[in-house]
Amino acid sequence: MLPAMTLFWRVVAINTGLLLVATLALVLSPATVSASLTIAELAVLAVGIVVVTAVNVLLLRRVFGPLERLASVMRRVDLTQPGRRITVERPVAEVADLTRAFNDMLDRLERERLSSGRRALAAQERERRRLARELHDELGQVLTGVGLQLDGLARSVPAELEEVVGQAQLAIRQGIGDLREIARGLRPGALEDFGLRSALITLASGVEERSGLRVRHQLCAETSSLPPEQSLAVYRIAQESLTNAARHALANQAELTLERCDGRLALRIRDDGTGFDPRAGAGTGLDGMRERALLIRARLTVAPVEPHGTEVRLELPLPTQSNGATP
Amino acid sequence: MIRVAVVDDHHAVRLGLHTALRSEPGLVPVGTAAGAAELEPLLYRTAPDVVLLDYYLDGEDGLTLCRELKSAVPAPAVVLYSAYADPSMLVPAIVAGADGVVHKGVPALQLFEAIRQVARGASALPPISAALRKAAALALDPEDLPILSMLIDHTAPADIMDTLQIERHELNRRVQRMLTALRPAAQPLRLDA
Repeated sequence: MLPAMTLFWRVVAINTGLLLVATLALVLSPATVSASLTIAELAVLAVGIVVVTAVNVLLLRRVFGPLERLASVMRRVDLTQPGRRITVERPVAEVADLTRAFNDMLDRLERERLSSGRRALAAQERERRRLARELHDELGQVLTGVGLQLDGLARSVPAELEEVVGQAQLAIRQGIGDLREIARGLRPGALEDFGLRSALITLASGVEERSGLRVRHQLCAETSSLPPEQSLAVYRIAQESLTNAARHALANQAELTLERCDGRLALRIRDDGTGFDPRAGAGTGLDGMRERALLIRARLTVAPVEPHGTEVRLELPLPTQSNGATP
Repeated sequence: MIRVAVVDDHHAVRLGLHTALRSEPGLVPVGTAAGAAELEPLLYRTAPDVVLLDYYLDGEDGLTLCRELKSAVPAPAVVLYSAYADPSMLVPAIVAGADGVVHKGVPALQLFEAIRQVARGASALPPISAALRKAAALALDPEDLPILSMLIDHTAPADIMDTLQIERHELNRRVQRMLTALRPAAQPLRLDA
């Protein structure tokens, strides 16, 4: 076939060729068609039409093959794994054009997805911050005030009410503690002030304190070169994984590791819980983790470990200028 | 009898502190104020021994108010009462002349103890770690470092002026400069104890 020819001209060429062959066959062969059609002539014509149609179908299918291949490749494109572009072997001009247009569209989609994902996450973080602030500065102050009032009251109540006031004091203390915990989870203050490593240590001890999950951590020293967006993503993924381990997987122990190798940073959270059902994505925040990983161009894998448990692994390329400083 | 005035922009906290202070023998709440404007007549009327002052007043700055209070003669003792247990706010508090810093999360008894301490003329400030001192030193003009050291060691302003051979207005100017350099971010955001 002529590679430079467009699809349109190929179809025209094939049909013209077939018409020519059929006409030549009629001219050169002894076959004739009389004014009143005989059965034999009808049979010859029918065979001729069938043959021409069959040849046409075969040739056209070959010509349209690249289009079909393109369509099937398009269907397999997965936006959760960005950066993949389609190629079609032996493309005709239109298919090459379509492939280019489709790849351009993928570029635009991925850019748009990245920026809208970033916007959504930034909005979420802003909202969390606002919530943390309101909880702490408004509700927290009211609870503190009421707690102080109860403390004062407790000293002058009649004996029969002492127990009730004591219970109220306890409840308000608990409430203040819970509120502070929620605010802290909403806004990782340690991350902004002291960096990823300190924030992860604070996170580990916080989870340990609240859930009883024993968290061993092994964290490499220098992560300061990480941009804020990436630090936040790493922190949130660690937070989500540890919460999952404690809450859903009923794990007793977890390991939190942060290491750097070959210019990459790897976060690993491994627990000894009941394991992980990949279909239970929604409740466990796995989608959110994937989204965060995607936005910082990191690779996230969630896999079971033997004999039981889950390992979450996040790998991301470190900014190049820090490679020289790697010990 | 220690007379205590309370400044806090939250009604519930003022109410709670008032009730708690009233229940404590030896302490007398003389009044509450939501901000500097309300505090002024209260000071004039009651001359409290101790002012319990919210570190982050809504729309105002507790540190500035603290400095104003401490520059009066005679000055009340000032305890800064903070909702944020961030150690980095300790140094600015000391530079502003606070006698004590207490986190709002502590039990009332601990607060009473701090009030008694500052009323005696002692200080109720948590110790300043070396890291904190270093961080503060980095933010300051090297010229002001001796003042910082003396303030941390509770040196009286008169002695600081003597040691450095400077006038009061010069000391005031430099303390103000230090406060500006050390001022925590406009929005206090630390939630980690």
